[in-house]
Amino acid sequence: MGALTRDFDWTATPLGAPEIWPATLRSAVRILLTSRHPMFIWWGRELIQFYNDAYRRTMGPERHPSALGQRGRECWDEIWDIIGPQIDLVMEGRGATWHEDQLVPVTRFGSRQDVWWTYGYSPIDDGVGGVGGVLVVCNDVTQQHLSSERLRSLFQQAPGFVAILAEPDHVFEHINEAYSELVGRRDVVGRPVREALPEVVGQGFIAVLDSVVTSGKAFVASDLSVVLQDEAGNMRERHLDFVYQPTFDLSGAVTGIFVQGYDVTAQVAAARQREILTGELEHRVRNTLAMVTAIIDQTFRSTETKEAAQDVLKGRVVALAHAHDILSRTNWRDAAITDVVKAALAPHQTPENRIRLSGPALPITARQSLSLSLALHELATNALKYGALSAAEGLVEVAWAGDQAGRGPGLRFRWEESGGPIVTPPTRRGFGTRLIEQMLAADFGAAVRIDYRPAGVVCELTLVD
Amino acid sequence: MTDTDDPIVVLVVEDEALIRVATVMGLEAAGFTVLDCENADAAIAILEKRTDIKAVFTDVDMPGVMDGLKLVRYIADRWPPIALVVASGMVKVLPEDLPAGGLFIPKPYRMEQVAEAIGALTARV
Repeated sequence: MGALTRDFDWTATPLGAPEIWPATLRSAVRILLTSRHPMFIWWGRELIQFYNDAYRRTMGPERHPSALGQRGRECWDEIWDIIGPQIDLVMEGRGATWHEDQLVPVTRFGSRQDVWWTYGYSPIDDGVGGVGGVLVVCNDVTQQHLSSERLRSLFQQAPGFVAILAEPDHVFEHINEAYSELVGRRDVVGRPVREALPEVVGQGFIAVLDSVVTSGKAFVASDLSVVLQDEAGNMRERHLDFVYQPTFDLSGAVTGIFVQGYDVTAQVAAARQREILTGELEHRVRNTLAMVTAIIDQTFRSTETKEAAQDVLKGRVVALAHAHDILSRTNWRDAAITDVVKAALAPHQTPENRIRLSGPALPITARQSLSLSLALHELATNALKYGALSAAEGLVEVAWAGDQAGRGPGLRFRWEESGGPIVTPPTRRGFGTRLIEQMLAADFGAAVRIDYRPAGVVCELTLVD
Repeated sequence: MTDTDDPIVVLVVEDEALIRVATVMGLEAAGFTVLDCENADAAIAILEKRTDIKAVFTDVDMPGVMDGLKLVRYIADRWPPIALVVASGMVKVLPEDLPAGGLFIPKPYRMEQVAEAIGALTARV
């Protein structure tokens, strides 16, 4: 810049040749050109400009080298509303200015850029008792500004909650967005914890903070239950993972506490829900296994050959499995009786559809679905072996009725065989028969009767009063 | 049991009908006389009428005010001589949950286990 300044044709400016410049301007320009700190000068009423190499590095091709010797107003028109009044203040002899980390957006390298400056405007006297110009000593602090801004924004947007307490008295210094949300958006900054969050005093947290200060040791909490006031003013229990980390000065004294953590309330609730579901599943599995064990036990006890037992067993377990299929679909809630009956009898249905179904799609419970499926399986197996389905012309009519809200107590159900061989009542009541009677009676709260009529078996579920 | 004795009377309390039927039949096959019902209230009603019941075999997880554990404690207080066996698929029953002399069998169980347990508890000298 020394050469540029020397070679510049100053006679074309209001300043005229350097030889006639005031001594103060000459020495100011000399200081400027020899300094490695960014500096800039406006001189005279027209604010004719000088700047040094260090300053040049803050400019784009839009202003360098045209700014040298240019009038201030022409050069800086785009930011004149910011700097104009500051220059006026100095030129009018009202002192100097000082600005820290101030945003002065300027056009450089083709675009308007946000640039932060720390700078001062100082008067240069004109040698005759007035102010001749303005000396600008400045720093482009954009990088520092952006990195601290980035830290601030990270702090604000951190997924966990963060608060910084100043000691003594645990006064909130900074909190981030998540912490603000945690404490119901109360105005806590600048206030001691015991005043800002009165509900935590009785929960022992002030004592914990005190002990972090006296011991200098961090306090780490996992899944700690804390009651905090929410935005609507209600007390709500939260589960928090957090740490109170003491911060120290150079002498080792605790000057503050860094609070950082996560609200794990939702995770805790989900884990609890999962435990309940696992317990429920465990119960169902064990219960099912107990049912299967009971079926195996009785099947082998009441069947003569191993081969027969295998077939009967398979049939019963498959019937149980079909009933479970329906319950998985309904998520173990009510199922439509129509679906249950159809599924239970599907493996026994003949090509001519000799099992005839009629009845409305009433809701029945999960448990009723299971016992009805097993009972129908037993009835159908018997019909196939000894009853209506063992003869070419035999028929089974399955009919039911009830009111929609019934779920059992209101249900009437009838299984009637016809067209099969003459029925003779069995000599002993086997597992299947007892199962049908007891399961249906227990789960439907109904009276169950199996009638071995010569014309065909009738099984009837009727209301108990 | 010996041939000269009358069969031992056992009360089975189980809300799941299939398991109840199978248990009743299993115990009958083992030589016991078996009564059954589906909840604690019904069990107490039967115990108040019959004086010949020597053992109660109950499930723990049953609907109603009284579950199987409460039922056996009640029976132990009212009818101390009755042998008590508890089964559960849901909760792990610890010895201290049961009245003195009570036995726990986890579900699913084999009928032989139950018959043996009841047989041992009701064995006559």
